[in-house]
Amino acid sequence: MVPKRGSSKGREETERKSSGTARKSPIVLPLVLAYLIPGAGHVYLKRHWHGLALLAAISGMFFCGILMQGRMFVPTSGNIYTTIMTYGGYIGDLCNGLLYVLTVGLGYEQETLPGALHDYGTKFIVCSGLLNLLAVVDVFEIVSGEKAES
Amino acid sequence: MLELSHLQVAILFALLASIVMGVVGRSSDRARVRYGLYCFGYFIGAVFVLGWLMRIGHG
Repeated sequence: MVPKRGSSKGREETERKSSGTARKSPIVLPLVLAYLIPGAGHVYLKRHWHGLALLAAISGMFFCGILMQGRMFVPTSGNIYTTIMTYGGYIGDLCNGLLYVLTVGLGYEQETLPGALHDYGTKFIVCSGLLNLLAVVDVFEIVSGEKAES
Repeated sequence: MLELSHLQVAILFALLASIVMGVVGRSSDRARVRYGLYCFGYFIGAVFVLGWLMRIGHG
């Protein structure tokens, strides 16, 4: 039996069809946007407030790290501890996407300074990258249909 | 240059990380707010517990 147009069953079917269409939407573009600009993937998927909250929190953490004169990691090979620390930190920094590229491209460079605050700044920069990675994974879950909005 | 105390840095980190975890961690807005507050509470709780443990440990 074909549900009547405008009935609740008909609306459900239309919504199901439209969500099926959303699943077929390109998966790469929102992921790339989410990686490059924190929250942009969510904005692209019409979740504007979520995107803005992510942009404020992730870029806020990144810029607080910069204001604390945090250091960007440079991958260095040495003993196992140094290698894991510097490569891991470098990957975390890279996860910031355009924020990292622009900051380094504009010539931000920070030598190691005494005091805990600069060290916190370094960790803030890495953590903002890791949080951006969480946002990218969230975008992937939304696009692949694994995460349904209720 | 940002001049913050250890506690202020910890609270700032807890706040910003909780916002992200709240947004990505749940699928309805009410649950997001609750989960964000839950994470923030646990972050702050951990700061105080670990702070006191270090204080007691150092004597």
